[in-house]
Amino acid sequence: MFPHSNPRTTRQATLLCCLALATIFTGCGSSDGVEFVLNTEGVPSFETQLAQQSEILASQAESNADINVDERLDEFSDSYFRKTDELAAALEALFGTPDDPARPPQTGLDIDLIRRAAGPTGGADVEPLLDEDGNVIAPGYHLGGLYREHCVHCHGMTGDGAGPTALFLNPYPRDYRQGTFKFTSTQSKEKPTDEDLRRTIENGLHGTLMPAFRVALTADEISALIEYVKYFAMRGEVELFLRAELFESGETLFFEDGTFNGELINTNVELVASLWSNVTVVQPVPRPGGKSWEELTAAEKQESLEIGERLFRNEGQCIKCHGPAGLGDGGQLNYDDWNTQKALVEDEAERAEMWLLPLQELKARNLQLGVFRGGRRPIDIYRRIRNGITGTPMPAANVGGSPIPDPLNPGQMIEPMEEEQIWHIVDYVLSLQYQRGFRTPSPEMNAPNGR
Amino acid sequence: MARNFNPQILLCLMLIVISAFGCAEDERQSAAVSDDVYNEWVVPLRQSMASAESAGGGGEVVQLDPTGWATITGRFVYDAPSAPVGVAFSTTSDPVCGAFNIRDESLMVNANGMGLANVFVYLRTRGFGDPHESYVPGQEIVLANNGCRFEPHALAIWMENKIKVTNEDPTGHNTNCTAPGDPKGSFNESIPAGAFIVKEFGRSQPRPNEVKCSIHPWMSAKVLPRENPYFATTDADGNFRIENVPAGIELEFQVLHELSGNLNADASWNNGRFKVTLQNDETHDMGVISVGPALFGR
Ligand code: HEC
Ligand code: HEC
Repeated sequence: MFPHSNPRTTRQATLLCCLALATIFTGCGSSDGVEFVLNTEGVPSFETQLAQQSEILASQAESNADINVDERLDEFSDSYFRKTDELAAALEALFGTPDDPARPPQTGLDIDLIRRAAGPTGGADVEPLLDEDGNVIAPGYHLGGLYREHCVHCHGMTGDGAGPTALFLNPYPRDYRQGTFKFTSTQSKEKPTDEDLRRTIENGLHGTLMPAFRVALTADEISALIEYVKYFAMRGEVELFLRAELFESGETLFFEDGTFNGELINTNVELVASLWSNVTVVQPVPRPGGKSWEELTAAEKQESLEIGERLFRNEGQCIKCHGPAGLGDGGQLNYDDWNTQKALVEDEAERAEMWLLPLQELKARNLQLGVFRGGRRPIDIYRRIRNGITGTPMPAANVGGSPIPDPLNPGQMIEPMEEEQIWHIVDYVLSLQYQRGFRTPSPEMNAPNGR
Repeated sequence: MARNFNPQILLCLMLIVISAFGCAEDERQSAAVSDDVYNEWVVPLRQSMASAESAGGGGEVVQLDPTGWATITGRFVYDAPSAPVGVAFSTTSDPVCGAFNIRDESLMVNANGMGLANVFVYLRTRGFGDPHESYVPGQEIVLANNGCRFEPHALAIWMENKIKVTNEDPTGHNTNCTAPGDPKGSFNESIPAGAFIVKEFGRSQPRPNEVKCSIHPWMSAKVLPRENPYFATTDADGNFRIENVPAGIELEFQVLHELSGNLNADASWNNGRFKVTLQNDETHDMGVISVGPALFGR
């Protein structure tokens, strides 16, 4: 088995040996280093793509003798690696590196805040850049290193939510690169405001491993981290759009003659920037009757809870996912946006090739626990119900509109839910924690159609 | 053999194993660039960003003058001995849906004639004046929750029209639409039995938006908003027909399918595209366009 005296084999073995040693000393691949990685979530490896391509070409060559399969495969490989370089180059030009961040002016991001969050733990001074005569071309600056000190082990160097600790957490830390955030005050599926991000970072997300930094960090430090989170999100979304332009739409970012497609790059940067600047904060409507929960009489409280329970079961459709008693046992298997595509790939090895973290299920919340990630103030719960939870299955409530015919009772009409009625559901949801063990709702309340 | 065994090789193997293990879980692709790429591409782009801060994107669209109108048709056929059958979903989580026999619709081939349904064909070329008068803006195009599936499964929609998502089932649904870069067209809203929502799209997409129902996770539809009305999706027999498209100028069409992405039905097509110039009042029949299973990863 071992061809012990074949000099060629020995030489090969020695080479492999050196390679192995080199790998051990330099760390594995690139991710341990201080550099960004490309977002290849859900993208099959080059080898897999090449194999697919070769199968397609082989089948087409059967009926078309003009197809030179080898030539076309070479073209495919060349184009794959060129496009990968183009993507990395555009990202570096626009957003820099972990130790030398930049941002396109259109994003409106504040580079001083970003620098305070970026860089090595403990901070570092970057020397000014001088020309031959000693004139300053680019002034020096200080990197504050806050992100790597407080966030990187969960959220990762690239903001991909796949730091070393991530694997052990449920839910996983946020992957910022899709620009999707859950706990927002804005319209369904819109970006968060700075205030939303501040609340998350100050208070943490209860019931998850996302810590509260209110004590550890000053308000200014949190401002820097908010900017850096937005930087990751914008960089990440620009990357996704540019990747699609290159690999799906077949566009070119850098031309052979040394020029570049500034218009295409600009369009995508401006699109992403506009998503952050055009958001609508949802202002809650006043409570029915204008009285806060504390101001209600005992009878009024009871009435609000009863209406809330009815809406929870019927018009609100909450029981579909949260179950009749709010235990989160509504039935179906669900995933957040970061896992939906994974769930469609059955083969585990294939999944491992395409995604950094294994598939993770998302259950509808058990509302009897009284633990709310996005905050437990009535206004927080109101916003979750009114706007849904972006990035998760939880939908925005269906409010307003005109009466609709009742499909179960011909001739009768159903009144749609009004926006102010959301407050009754809020009251009901906040009351559930005092009903632990409550499992069997009264039969007449448990409408089978979950309207 | 044992006598001649070289301990160096053993050490070497151990090292290889260690190095392979350490890296196995991590296949991240570095975003760092080589010095050449840095100097040739990164530096000039960075400089232009700094100098031309207000360089506007968007790009001027060249105005084209059609000479008249024409029609384009064709038929996509799945080239295999037998039609694939989508796997059956378990739908019993909802008693209403449990009554329906629902299958995966990502590859719909009509066993009778092998027509391929749900292929998107749309005009990529931009810059015509008003579309032909047969295209009426301001309509509500229906995407129905019906029988615990979306009808139609593949829908292209002109952005001058709105989408009306209805619920014809005696059970509640929610409709979760992800439209990249389009907050107006991205929504996840609950739709009780008998109710509906009306939405608009704010961005013409190159690829269809993903539409799901989270209450019934097997439900899926593809919705493609376009800035012009020149598009079609193939019917159950694989036929498509786009009437009143601009004639007398070169048109570029894009062909897509949800499993293949860009559908390179012909080896001469690149990125799923073909070009054609139509004569006034011509009906251009592309005939049978045969596509093999390899394109769909089958
Ligand atoms: C111990 C791990 C951990 C650390 C450290 C950590 N996070 Fe998180 N973070 C999480 C988890 C887990 C979530 C996701 C919770 C969820 O999905 O409900 C999260 C989510 C977030 C979100 C998304 C909120 C939303 O609305 O979607 C932001 C923003 C965030 N973290 C910022 C930070 C910042 C800034 C730091 C450093 C100051 C940090 N995190 C440190 C674990 C961590
Ligand atoms: C399609 C399924 C679905 C429906 C319908 C649904 N939810 Fe949820 N809900 C979820 C999921 C999943 C989560 C967990 C989201 C997360 O934190 O990642 C959730 C979380 C919540 C939370 C916790 C928020 C927090 O800050 O932790 C509340 C409160 C809630 N839902 C209330 C409701 C109410 C009230 C309704 C009806 C108006 C409703 N839900 C309808 C799936 C659903």
